[in-house]
Amino acid sequence: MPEVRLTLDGIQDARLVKACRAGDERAFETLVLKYQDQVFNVVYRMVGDREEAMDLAQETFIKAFQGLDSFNQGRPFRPWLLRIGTNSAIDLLRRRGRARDVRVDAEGVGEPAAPGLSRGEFEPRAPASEIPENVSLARETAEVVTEALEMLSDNYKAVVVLHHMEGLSYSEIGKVLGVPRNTAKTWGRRARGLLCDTLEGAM
Amino acid sequence: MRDSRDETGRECERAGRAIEDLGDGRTGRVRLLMLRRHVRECPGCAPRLEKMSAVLEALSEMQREQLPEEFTAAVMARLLDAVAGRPAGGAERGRDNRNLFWVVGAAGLGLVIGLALPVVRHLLGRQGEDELAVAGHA
Repeated sequence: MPEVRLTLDGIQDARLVKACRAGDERAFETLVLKYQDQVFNVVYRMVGDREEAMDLAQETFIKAFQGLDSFNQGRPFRPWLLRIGTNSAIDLLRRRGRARDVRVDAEGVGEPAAPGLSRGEFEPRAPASEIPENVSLARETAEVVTEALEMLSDNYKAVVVLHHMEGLSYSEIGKVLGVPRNTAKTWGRRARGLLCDTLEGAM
Repeated sequence: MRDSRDETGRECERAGRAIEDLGDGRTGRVRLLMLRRHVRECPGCAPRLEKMSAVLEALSEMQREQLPEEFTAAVMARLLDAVAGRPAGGAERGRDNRNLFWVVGAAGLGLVIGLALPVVRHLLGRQGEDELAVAGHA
């Protein structure tokens, strides 16, 4: 696999990983502190149970520590760590017998990356949320979306969680899920399409 | 008339793509303005934008779960257990290897002695025969 240019954050992680390999447990504790929230929230959104998510998050870090020798320091640590977490969550869902994998469809949408506004810059809805009726409608919509998210296939759910809640790029998500970037993007679009469909009767 | 319908269709297509791109966070300012203008006049695209906006808003407002403070300590404790388990396992494996070494060594030595004995006996026997022959000749 070709090496990628690491960000400053990635370089710091690589240093910490190197220190861990040399037996510095403090360095690993720093990595745990840095990523525990993210790992926990990803697995929590995947499995939907706080206690199980806590256990899975702990397990993720133990597995990561044990697998540090196989980790390529020239590649970013975060996607590697989240991959362990996501796979653990998917394994748990499989054991529960409710895994809903979707066929890996390598066909991408193939659109060039264009400069655009970030999600935060877009404010599509009128700021009328102070009106009680709107507040309850927004809450209801959020509940419907949360329930619909639960019902998505594991791969679709993972893309939505990683992109919309953790802010990962599709390129990073591709690394986490072990699929090409465009596949991750397609899954994201389809997942959002399905979420929109569930709002059909609710709005 | 037909041209105007085609134009509207193309605008709806563009609007559809822009709405999809919203989810990816890559709808530029100009496209956004065009989209807003289009949905004001298009009864088909307005609900699509409304639903997508609602989904994105709901996703962005989902509460993050907080971890208990002792989480890090719990991970490190489990980790130390795992690490402490490894050398013990290694030492056990080492002891097993040493035992195996002695057993194989002893068996090897026995084999060498077992093979060497008849050879030595044979050589000694020949030497005795030669001495007898020499003595007889004398």
